[in-house]
Amino acid sequence: MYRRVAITGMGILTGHGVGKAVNWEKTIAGESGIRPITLFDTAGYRTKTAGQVADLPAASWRRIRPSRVDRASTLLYHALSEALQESGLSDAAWRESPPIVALGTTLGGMTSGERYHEIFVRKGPSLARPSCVVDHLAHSQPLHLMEEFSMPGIPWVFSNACASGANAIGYAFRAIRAGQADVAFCGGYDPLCEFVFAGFHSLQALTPELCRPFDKNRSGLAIGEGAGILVLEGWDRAAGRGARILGEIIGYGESNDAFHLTRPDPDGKVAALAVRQALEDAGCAPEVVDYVNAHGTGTPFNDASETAALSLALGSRAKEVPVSSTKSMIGHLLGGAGAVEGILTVLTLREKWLPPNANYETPDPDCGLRIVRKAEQASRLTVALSNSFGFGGANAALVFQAVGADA
Amino acid sequence: MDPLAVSGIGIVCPGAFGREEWVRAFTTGHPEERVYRVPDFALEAYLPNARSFRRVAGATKFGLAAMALAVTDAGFSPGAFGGERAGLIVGITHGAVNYSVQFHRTLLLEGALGASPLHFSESVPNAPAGNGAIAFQIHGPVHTLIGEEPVGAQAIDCAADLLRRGLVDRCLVVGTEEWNEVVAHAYAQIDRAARRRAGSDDAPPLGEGAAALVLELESTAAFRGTTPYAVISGWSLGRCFAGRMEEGTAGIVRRAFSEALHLAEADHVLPPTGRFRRAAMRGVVLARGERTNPPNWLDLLPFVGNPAGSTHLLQVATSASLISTGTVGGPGLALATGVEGTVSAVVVSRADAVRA
Repeated sequence: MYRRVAITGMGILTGHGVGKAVNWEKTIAGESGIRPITLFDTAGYRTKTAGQVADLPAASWRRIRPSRVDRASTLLYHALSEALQESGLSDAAWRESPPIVALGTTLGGMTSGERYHEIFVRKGPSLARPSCVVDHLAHSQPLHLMEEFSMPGIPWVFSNACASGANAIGYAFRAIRAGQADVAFCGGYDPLCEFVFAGFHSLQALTPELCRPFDKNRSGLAIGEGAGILVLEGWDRAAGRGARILGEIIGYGESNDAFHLTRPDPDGKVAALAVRQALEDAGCAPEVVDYVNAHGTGTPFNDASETAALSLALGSRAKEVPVSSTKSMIGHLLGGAGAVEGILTVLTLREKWLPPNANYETPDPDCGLRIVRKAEQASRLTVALSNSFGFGGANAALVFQAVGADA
Repeated sequence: MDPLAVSGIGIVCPGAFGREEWVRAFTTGHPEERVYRVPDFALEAYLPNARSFRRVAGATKFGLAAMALAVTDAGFSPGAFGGERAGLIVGITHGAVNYSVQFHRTLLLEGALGASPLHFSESVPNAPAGNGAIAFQIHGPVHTLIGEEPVGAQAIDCAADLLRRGLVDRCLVVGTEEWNEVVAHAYAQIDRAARRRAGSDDAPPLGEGAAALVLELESTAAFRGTTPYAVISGWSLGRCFAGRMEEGTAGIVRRAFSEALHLAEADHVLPPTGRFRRAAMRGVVLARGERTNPPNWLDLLPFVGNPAGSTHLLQVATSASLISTGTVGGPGLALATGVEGTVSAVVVSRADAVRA
């Protein structure tokens, strides 16, 4: 017998700002969080903007030396602090029962790695300080975070490119549902750094214009940065301690295209398998899906492939169900995307407002979905799907349900 | 609970390619060369569709060869292994770091226009897994886990979850790493600093290589008519903070054994190849108590150095191979430690040794 999985806390920061309130307000307003990059010199690039977190506040580390932490750790710190505060949990909770910590990222503390390597190359190996690389490897940030918040055990760090965050949530969801743990902290993160920006630039995947997912004139993605953390608990336990339940995860599916390292399979067949599995896992027919938060990167290949996948998985419902990509406003958060978009999906279900797919102007006949142009209030908003697809053929789909839907 | 069967083993390491070559090298060899690098080889010798992967990074190449060896060893043809009911879990610490370094070096010295998209896309942490999925047409769950040396135990745990939940029938579990000058230099610096601070007792040299296991539930392997090399009968993971490595390791070892076997029955231990290895070894002695016979320590370090994220699976592959040939009776304990104090223990045994 499976346990129901409750979401009792959420923390988020993106180019829209720090915290759920500001993120939701700006998302529904269709406001752009894409701005000129100040973290590195963009002179050599065609694209000069990204969803950079402006004025990132310093973290109040107590146990970790702040001088050694990467920007990635600071993003995580803020997201976890907000999620923890909302959940009302404290370290007393995990002294009784160790939590699962599952996080997704693509390159973790790459900013630290860049700094170390730049000194190594420009000034010589002996001047490259080891303190620069203490927080570089992708498992370091979750380890340091757990140390800071006195969490025992070791983290599960998924690096499945842009599906990492969704996979981490899916992993934690299954563990809580099966009763393997009482509490899980899960999500994803990635900071903006030149290495990744240059990488996507070299692949000609970045748009110098506005990011327009599903639009006929879409020309690429905008990179973003940020983090999202969800606190998951067994429903009975959360209800028993009087926690405010924000939403429920009811299904998870995953698959791999096994097609190309950086391109999705254009027929969307295997991505559809992940969506179908997630719905089956949730016990939901396509007809009950009220909203899809699409992966929607804004690249010609991805959006066409995702349309094909949704058409296969949802059948005729694919043309009716409202779809939007919030990447149009905050950019692509890579390892953080699945988590941040999962949180925005839960907020969508709570607030009964559909977030817009910003910058959408010209419908694409190859993407015949019902794209949400402007924020819409919805009378029925109970079940929503969040897709994440990534390099390496990774596909992940999560199904969320509003609180009270089963009443 | 249906035991986790090791039905295929693939090894690519400085001393050997393949299970049999490795067992021979490990049991009879006396390594003299202290440069722990995998010699150059042609992927075509292992993988039928190798041409598609001719420009992959070293870590991916090692991983693909190890996967091909394991798949064949388990009795599958490379073309028949995949599908929706197959999974792939890769555990790494650094991954394809040479391409990362090359990409960033070009970026620094020549600017963005000179940086190669290939060096970026093939350097992402999930490049070995993504290429592995393509090579074997694996459409089920494919994950890359990042962690210190214990990440191999996490990969086993993740695969066990998928198998026991009935989401897949077979799962490749892979650890792969490549040697890199910048990484080796950084570790050497960290070790020097640690020695100055606390008289740290060990600084193992960075190695490289890959190990792959085909894991199935024992009942699935039996249904296929395959006799597994061994079963993985328990594992445990944890973190030990400064000064508590011995006691912490002892607790983790006890937990790994508590699932199925008595710790006192272990007849061989594969000690860590990473930092804190001596403290962890003392932890094993502490866990076993004085009354038990001293274990047979099978140390991989002189043969392969510290191949970071591939260490643990190489240990498990070694223990399973030696148990299957009767070189050791089992059960065996594979122990891994990382620089941040992460520790894992995996118990490998003969299938019939697991308590009912």
